Amino acid sequence: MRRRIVGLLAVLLLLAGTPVAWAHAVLVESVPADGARLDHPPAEIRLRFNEPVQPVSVRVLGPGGQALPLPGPTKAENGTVIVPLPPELTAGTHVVSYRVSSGDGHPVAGSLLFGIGAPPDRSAVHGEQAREATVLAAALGRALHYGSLLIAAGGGLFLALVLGRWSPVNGRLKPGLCLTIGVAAMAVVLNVGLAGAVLEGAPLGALAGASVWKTGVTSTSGFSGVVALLSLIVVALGLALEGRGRTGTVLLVGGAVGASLALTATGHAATAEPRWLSVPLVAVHGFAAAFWVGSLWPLAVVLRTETAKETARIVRRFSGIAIGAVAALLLAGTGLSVLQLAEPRAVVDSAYGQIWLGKMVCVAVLLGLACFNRLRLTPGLDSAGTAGRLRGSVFTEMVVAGLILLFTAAMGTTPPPRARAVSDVEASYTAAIVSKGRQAVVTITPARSGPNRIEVHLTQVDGSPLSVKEVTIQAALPSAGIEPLERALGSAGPGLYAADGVELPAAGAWAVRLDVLVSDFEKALFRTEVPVGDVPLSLPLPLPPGAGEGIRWAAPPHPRRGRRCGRAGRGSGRVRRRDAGPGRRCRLPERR
Amino acid sequence: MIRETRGAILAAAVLACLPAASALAHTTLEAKQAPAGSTYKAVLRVGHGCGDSPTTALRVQIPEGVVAVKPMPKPGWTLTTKEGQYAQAYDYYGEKLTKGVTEIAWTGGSLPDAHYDEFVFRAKLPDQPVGTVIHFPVVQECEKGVHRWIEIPEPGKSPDDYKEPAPSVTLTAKP
Repeated sequence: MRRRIVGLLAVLLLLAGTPVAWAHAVLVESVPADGARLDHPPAEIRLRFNEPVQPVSVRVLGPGGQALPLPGPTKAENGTVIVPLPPELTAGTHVVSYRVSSGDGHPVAGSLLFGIGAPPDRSAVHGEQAREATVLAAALGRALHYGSLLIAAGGGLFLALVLGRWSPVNGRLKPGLCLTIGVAAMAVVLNVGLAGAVLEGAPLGALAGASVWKTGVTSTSGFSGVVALLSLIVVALGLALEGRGRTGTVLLVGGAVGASLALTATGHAATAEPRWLSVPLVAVHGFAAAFWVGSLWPLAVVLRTETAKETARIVRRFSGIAIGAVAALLLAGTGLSVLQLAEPRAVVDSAYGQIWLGKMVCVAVLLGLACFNRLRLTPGLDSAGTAGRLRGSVFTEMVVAGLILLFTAAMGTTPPPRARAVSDVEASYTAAIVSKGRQAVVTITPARSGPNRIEVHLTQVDGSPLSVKEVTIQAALPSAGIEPLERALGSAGPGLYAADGVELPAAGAWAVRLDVLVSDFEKALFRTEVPVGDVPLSLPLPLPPGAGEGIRWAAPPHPRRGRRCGRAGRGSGRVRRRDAGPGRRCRLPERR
Repeated sequence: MIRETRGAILAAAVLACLPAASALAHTTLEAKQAPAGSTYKAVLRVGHGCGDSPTTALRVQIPEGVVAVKPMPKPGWTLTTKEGQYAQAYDYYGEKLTKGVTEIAWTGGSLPDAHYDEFVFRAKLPDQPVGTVIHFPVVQECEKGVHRWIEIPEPGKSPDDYKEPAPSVTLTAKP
């Protein structure tokens, strides 16, 4: 009974199965925007995040793919990172790859492209394939990490909670468990390196260098790895002392709790808001999963080696504890799923949801097997032959559990829908227009015919918000003979003006003009073209007289969903596929 | 036949409307051209109110470079001026001017939409190259509503492209 309470308490501290963290900071916008075509080289790049960040590293690659020396250090002001650019950038595609760490220490990495004098050429980005390989390897490494960690910690739990002291099976299990602990330790280390490589967007070959390891160790994966290694050491100590009373049992349970906590240190699941809920859920989920997954191999050994009577005793004991563990596992998993998926629709229309669905199918199979084992096979264990069947069933469970781990690891490398929900995934179109040094960032959502929300963000020359007396927007579609529709925008914050329900009645390249009454006697004009519906923008844009002395850029046309890379879009596989066309594929703030 | 007629009427209507749009009475300066560096008598012509609403105030911003401004008082209107520092010193018959009138306001009057009136000031125009356009942004306040004649054409555009262009004068060669 007491052990059961210990087990339950430990379960409460458990962990979640979907470790990759979606770091908290999200890139809100960049100037120039990802995919922008500029007529003049910008003097600097501004990356605005939703919370304060510190730049870790920023690299700018020129048209040849060579890194350009930056004239000065990257600055950070609150959530805005300002990257000074060398003067006289040459025409062609430039890639800015950045890594910042947000307030809670989570690194965020990503990159954006812009073209000078021509739209950026996505195919010019080298190493994209290598990065895909890195992500795949990271997912596999993560599956190995989860699997070995759960088996090692869970094997210890099996010894402590199911077998109890003095059981002769202990001796048979120990060599295998020691091996698993060794594998788990190596997997932890490998996982940290791979996490670093993913963060840096580096190819697998970079594992030979120190940089990705440094990145990995300083990330939350590094912290999680340290906790996992310590837990494994505790489990190993527990194994060594297992024959000597209570200390061994406490160490084994403590190691499993530690392993569960390691899983809460990183990953999407444990960083979902509200964290006071997600972290305990992840801990419980992980602890229960460790108990279940970790018991499979010991059970198989027991079924093979022990006498029928002893086998029946052990299996029934396991079965009694497993009921509670499975219930906790399912409850925690359900809670985490709700947090991650945000909405039922996401199950089908996001990559994360589809992977989740695959996992759920496997979970259903596993539960079916478990019920069959408990209700049909376990009661008949005393009769001959049943042990063999149960053993076969346990092996099947191991295979299914392996699949579940793979799915879980894949979920860890896929941004969950909740991240998509946070960033504005709604399709929209954004253009940044500069006039006399002042900048207007115009966002039209959803940029389709019908009612649209129009948001204008005005900034002064120095980048601070520009509050003005009045902002009106005029939108005309000359090609369809639609004369300017005028609408006043209401103030929605410092430098922010917006209007809802602005009717853009037809698809086409709309000529948009902003009249900004800066002061009594001064009006600033900003002009741009906005594609409404799936209309290609007539790039290259002519430099409108006066409206854009200096820089002018516009984001490329965005098919339906997603846009503004960086901020949106990347979350779902659907968006990815849809956006797979040329000129669209942005790197999002990195997931970890 | 009916269709053709309708088309012709439409075309005629469109043609008829086109010139009307730009020619409607704006608030403008009477003399559109003046020699660079000359003393200019600016006559602001107010042709209408804000819709039906009578005009109650007219405010003019004096652009940098235009100095020695003296507005003409107007019976029934309160005349006020704002003074400010110039961005640089200007020579005025041997005298260095560093500050002066930057804004003129005639307020408290009432000019019905049905009537026409003129508001006058005198100023020395800058000695700048021939063809330079000097804009005088004007805010016309009415009992209800306001017209802001402050739009300065972007390069390559003419005041006719705007709804409320700022009154302007173009510099010509010195006599």
